[in-house]
Amino acid sequence: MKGAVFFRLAMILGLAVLARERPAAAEDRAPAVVIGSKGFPESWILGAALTALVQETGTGSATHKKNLGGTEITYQALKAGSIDVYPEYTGTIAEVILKTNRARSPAEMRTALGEAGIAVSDPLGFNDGYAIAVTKSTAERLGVASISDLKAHPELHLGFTHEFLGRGDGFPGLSRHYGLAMRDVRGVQHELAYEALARGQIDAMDIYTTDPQIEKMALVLLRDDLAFFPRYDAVLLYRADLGARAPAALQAMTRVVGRIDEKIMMHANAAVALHGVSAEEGARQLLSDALGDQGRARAPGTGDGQGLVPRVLRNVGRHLELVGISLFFAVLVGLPLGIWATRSKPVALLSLGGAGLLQTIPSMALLAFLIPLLGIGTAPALVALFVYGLLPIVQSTYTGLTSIPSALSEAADAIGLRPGTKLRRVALPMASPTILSGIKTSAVINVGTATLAALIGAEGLGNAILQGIALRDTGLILEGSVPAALLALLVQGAFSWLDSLLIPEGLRLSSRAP
Amino acid sequence: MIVLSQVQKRFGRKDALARTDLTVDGERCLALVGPSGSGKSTILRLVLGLVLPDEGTITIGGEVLDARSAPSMRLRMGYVIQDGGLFPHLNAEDNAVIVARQNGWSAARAQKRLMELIDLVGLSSEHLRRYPIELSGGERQRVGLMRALMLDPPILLFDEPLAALDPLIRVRLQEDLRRIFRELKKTVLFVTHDLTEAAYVADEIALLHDGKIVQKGALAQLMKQPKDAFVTEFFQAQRLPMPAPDEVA
Repeated sequence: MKGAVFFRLAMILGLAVLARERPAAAEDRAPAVVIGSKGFPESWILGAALTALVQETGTGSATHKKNLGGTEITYQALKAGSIDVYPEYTGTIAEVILKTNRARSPAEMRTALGEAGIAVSDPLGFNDGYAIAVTKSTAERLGVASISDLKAHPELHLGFTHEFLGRGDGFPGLSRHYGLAMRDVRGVQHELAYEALARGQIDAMDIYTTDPQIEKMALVLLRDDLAFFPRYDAVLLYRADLGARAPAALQAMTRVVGRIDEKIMMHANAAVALHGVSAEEGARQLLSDALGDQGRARAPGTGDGQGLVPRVLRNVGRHLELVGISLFFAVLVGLPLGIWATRSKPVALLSLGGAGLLQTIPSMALLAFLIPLLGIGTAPALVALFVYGLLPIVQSTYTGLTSIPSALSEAADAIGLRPGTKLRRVALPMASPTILSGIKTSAVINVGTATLAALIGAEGLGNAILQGIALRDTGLILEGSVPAALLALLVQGAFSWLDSLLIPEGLRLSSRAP
Repeated sequence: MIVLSQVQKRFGRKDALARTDLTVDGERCLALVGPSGSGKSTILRLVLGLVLPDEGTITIGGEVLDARSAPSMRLRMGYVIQDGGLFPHLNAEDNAVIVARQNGWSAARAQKRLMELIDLVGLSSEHLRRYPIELSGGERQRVGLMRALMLDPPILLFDEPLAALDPLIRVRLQEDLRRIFRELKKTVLFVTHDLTEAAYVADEIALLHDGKIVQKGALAQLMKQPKDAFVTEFFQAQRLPMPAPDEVA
């Protein structure tokens, strides 16, 4: 039976996903610590450093889920238990996580987070606060040295990260505090903002005080003369049960407490962000600077040490896996749903409307929704891609089936075809060109959307793109985006071939006829 | 034998078919003739069970037609529509055997039946591999006829089968249909709006107007003794000779 084969295939694919999700399931009972990091190099370096520290103890495994994204996503991952620990900043904890207006004392923070089952370490030693930066030439031309000086220049173009624009302790608070009334304020991704600043497309931007670009571009940090910005002391956020579950690992990680000052951090940041050193190598340098250990073992890489071709091939493979599996399930659900919709008005309204609604959820929002439910990694990425793939398939199935000429549809009934035979032998083959084009649309959309899966720790071509943007490394961006574009073309081509295979010859002849 | 007794069908407010009694005896061909919307196609769809009567009953071969019995009863009727009603993605052969195969006929049995029919409908075996788009209008109609005859049903229903064909092909098909009806001795309902076609192919004509059968009988009878003005008018519109002194051109 065709149906049985289909079912078995679905099972195999499903199991393949599960197996991927639990790489350590078969290992011994030694505690497995999962370390997360946010979407910028400093966080990656700290994440890699923590990973190396745990691995050195030899008491259990440590995995680094690198580059998870913004605070919301990473903190949700911690709360959901997808990761055990990640580096965070006190100012961010107060504002974004606890959503309070002003700084809280460390003790207050501990209590509030403790209620959520999250513990806080003592500060690591450096303050990575916000500051407003301008180029040296702008500073000299306008004679600005402090944030108050900006008041006299409402014509300046400001580019801030989306997070800074949205946070109370970011631009909204800053402009109120200083009475700024800028006419042009826009959201720009952090690393791209440096590019924009260098090219004079923006005049000022928000920076973190340990950004290596400060030194390289000789930027002028405007003095916070009215004392607006709170401190952003780096700390570790970890699950409260970690101490009991993996005491040796926790102890190893807290070795960096009080040991990393601004200079050490900026040094490691510069190595990674400016000199193209891997985060693991940067972490090695950081630990050697901070802990004074000489000749440390090279930190195990997460694949960054591979050559270009195997790395691209691996990413393409993972990318295709994401697209293939999500598309498979989108067809498995979308096709029957589209068929059902042709038989019931309420189902048609509900399924087409529902799939349309899901389509409008921005991908970042959808991913943020899915983390508390599914954690991070491949599973939420597959679900998101499945959701986005659904509408074109349901829609095209419905349209294809309902646009069969009514005379032929009635003839099928009248000559005595049973509903099942009619669907299989007449309706679906006649609708096949439309249905296939819907599936193709889904596939091409998903090749593009799957790059976003890297935001939540699923691998694929998006990783190279996101890291490339963060490092301002065009080569890395191309390494992700060129294969992604080729893949989209390949999918198009594959579907033309599928068309010739699946669309009945009689229909192809008809469509060529004048 | 097809019997409609007191059958009524409404679509919205309009009577598609007013209370109607109609009997078609075995081995005869009745043509349903009338302008569009007169109810002739509605009768066909009622007989097929595609729509069910609001009032009255339909029996076919003594068995009452309802929602439950309709699917199996359709297998005892062959149905041919304008342009053959062939499925464009299936070649002529697959179109012809689709119902037989559904009902468990072996490929060999279907093939044998196909060969019997191919001569009857005037096609050759090379037509069988062609798709509808590769066949002429007349050939498509002959394949449609083959499909209708496949299960050798006692009843044949035609819904304006020749309307889209050009005159010469049309005449040839009319001749073939008449021959086939006589040869196979089927009960036939033949919907057309063309009186000469009806007169040539059928044994009897029922003329419909506004959901009612106005008059039923042989062509000569309708011509000589028109029951009302509509009959006369309809004959005149088809440029058939009528004893109508006030007719000018």
